[in-house]
Amino acid sequence: MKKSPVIPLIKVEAGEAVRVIGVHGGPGLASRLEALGIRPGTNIVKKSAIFMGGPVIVEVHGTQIAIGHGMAARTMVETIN
Amino acid sequence: MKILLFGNPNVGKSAVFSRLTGTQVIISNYGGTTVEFTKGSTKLRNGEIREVIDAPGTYSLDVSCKAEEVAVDMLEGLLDKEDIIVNVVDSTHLERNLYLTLQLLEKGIPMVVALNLWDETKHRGISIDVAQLQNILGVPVVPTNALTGEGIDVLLDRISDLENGEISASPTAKYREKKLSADERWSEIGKIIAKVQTICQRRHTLRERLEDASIRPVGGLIMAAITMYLSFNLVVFLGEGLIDFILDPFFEGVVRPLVTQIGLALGSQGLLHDLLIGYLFHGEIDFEMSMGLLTTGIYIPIAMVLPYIFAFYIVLSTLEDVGYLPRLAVLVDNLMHALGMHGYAIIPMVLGFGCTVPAAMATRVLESRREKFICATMLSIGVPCMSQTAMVVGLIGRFGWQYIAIIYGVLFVMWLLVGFVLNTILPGSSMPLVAEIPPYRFPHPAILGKKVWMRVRAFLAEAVPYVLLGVLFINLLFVSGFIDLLGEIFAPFLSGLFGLPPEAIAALLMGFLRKDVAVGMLSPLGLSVQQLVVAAIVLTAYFPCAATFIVLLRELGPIDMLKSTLIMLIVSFGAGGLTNLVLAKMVPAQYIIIGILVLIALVYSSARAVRAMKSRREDLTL
Repeated sequence: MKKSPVIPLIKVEAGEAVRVIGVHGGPGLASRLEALGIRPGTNIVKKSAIFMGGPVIVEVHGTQIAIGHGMAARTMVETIN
Repeated sequence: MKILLFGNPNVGKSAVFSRLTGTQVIISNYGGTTVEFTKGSTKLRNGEIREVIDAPGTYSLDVSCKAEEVAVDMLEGLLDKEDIIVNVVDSTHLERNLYLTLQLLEKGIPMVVALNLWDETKHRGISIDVAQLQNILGVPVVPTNALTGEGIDVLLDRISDLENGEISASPTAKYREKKLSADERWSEIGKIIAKVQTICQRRHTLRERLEDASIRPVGGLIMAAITMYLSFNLVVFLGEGLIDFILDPFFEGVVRPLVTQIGLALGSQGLLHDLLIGYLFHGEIDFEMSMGLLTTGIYIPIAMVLPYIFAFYIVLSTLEDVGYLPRLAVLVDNLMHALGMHGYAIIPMVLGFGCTVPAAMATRVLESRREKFICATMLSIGVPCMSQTAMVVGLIGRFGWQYIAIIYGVLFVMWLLVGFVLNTILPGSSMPLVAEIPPYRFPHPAILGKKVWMRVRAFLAEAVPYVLLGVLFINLLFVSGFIDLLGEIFAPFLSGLFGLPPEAIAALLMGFLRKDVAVGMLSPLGLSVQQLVVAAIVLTAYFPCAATFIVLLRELGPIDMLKSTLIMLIVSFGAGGLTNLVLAKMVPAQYIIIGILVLIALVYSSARAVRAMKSRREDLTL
């Protein structure tokens, strides 16, 4: 099976389900997302993104969470086939 | 022994608190409503009284933002060994909530888990095996629905049982006094969820479609526009209706004959008459202008402001309980970043249209000092509270809505400019937004009614004494001749800068205390509508009212508050002066617009140059 590429969350299409690979940022950033359940290995669904560098909304375990654009750019994910 | 309520944001801790203690606290459908600890007490089965403490929500005990730090500090500082934690959990998001639960279990403190929002699990097709969960965790687990009060009795019983040692107070040995790593915790949670929770898939409901639409870019903007339009019209419709059909008839039919009699009994003149009844116009009391304690002093807060306060809080509380505000925060995140804050800062701003005091307290949802400073300054300058809005609408609305539009347009531009300039010149940058978007919930009428009543009561308790004090104070200043003296001193400044007569100084003085009375005091001066517009802008922005000032002083500290106040004075005088120039047709509006754009460009480019210089210096030192 071909391994799907690792891309930042902002590049994912709305409606697509992805798996979190890692958060490239300070420990503060990673731990804030971690506390909300966004951590390596978790499956999340990108619900939407607000245009012009607005936040990305993802669904994790049935909860919708808005993540600022900068943070979403540093959250690396792979698509689930 | 104490009972501490702990849990994630927006799981209903405050609702549980209010059920346990009977204390009324503000509860809403978004995280960060509780920013302070609230204490109350509850009676256990055996009649003993226990102190209950409601804490701000936290996702974990690893501190990642300011609000969490406060909650965690409290846990460490307040907790004695014999205390009991009630871990309030959102049953519809068990998996995420269990992270904090496990961390709390690791502390080894006696605990009861309240599976709150239990009724929602049914609608969402979630079923949780409570007995199994209780077995695994080793602490009592009670399904609750705090909004209706279901399960609260059982919760209290379990607390008593724990205290009396009737059930084991200690968590499963697997978790007790251990320090698991984050990965271990999540894998443990995965196992627990697999055992206790089943979810059946359902069709998408209308509510979920609306939820989705409100966070999509285009659908979200359309919904925001409709929501704002409807909210505004509803507030005006309700406010005007209450005034025209209830309060004005009441004041004309009941209060007027009464105070007229009192006036006659006082001999229609003299110091006491002037203080209580005020000045007569053609021998009649004018509720808006007489400035007596029993006339204008009561008429302004009750008949002019209260109806709008009531209408505004019905609309705001509905939006809060539905869960709309965090969605608005997501939509405006972009704009707010340009002003130095993230999207959640819109929540204090929206609250500020009601009253700046709770809005100033709500700035605590922002993480950094920089953000709080910018937010508080913008709030004080560009967001007029409902007391003031009601008076502006009442006094200036009769000249035409375009004048109200000018006032709010100028305030909005000031708001944007202050945020933009502060964000550009202050060192540091805005924090990223991370916010849970709550599901839409249908507001609970009883809870909504209680919240509106609490807020209206807070207005009455806070506003009426200040208004009466203000009216008394101003009357004394008039009688002593102090106002005339000040008017003479400031006359060149007032007329030169704002085109206002010397008597306007009394209103500006009053503005330190109460904005509504201050606007009301403009009415007997016989000002032109242009002068009223300028005065209303300056009155909004130059200083927050006394009650807000006290809160901001506590939130920002004296030095930052001094800086913020200086900004308010400079910006409001500048804006008032420019508006006067434009309205008096001395300078065309387009010159001002060009001037503002040049200012923006200057600030932006010089800030960039400074940053570039700094980074070059850092490169050299490296």
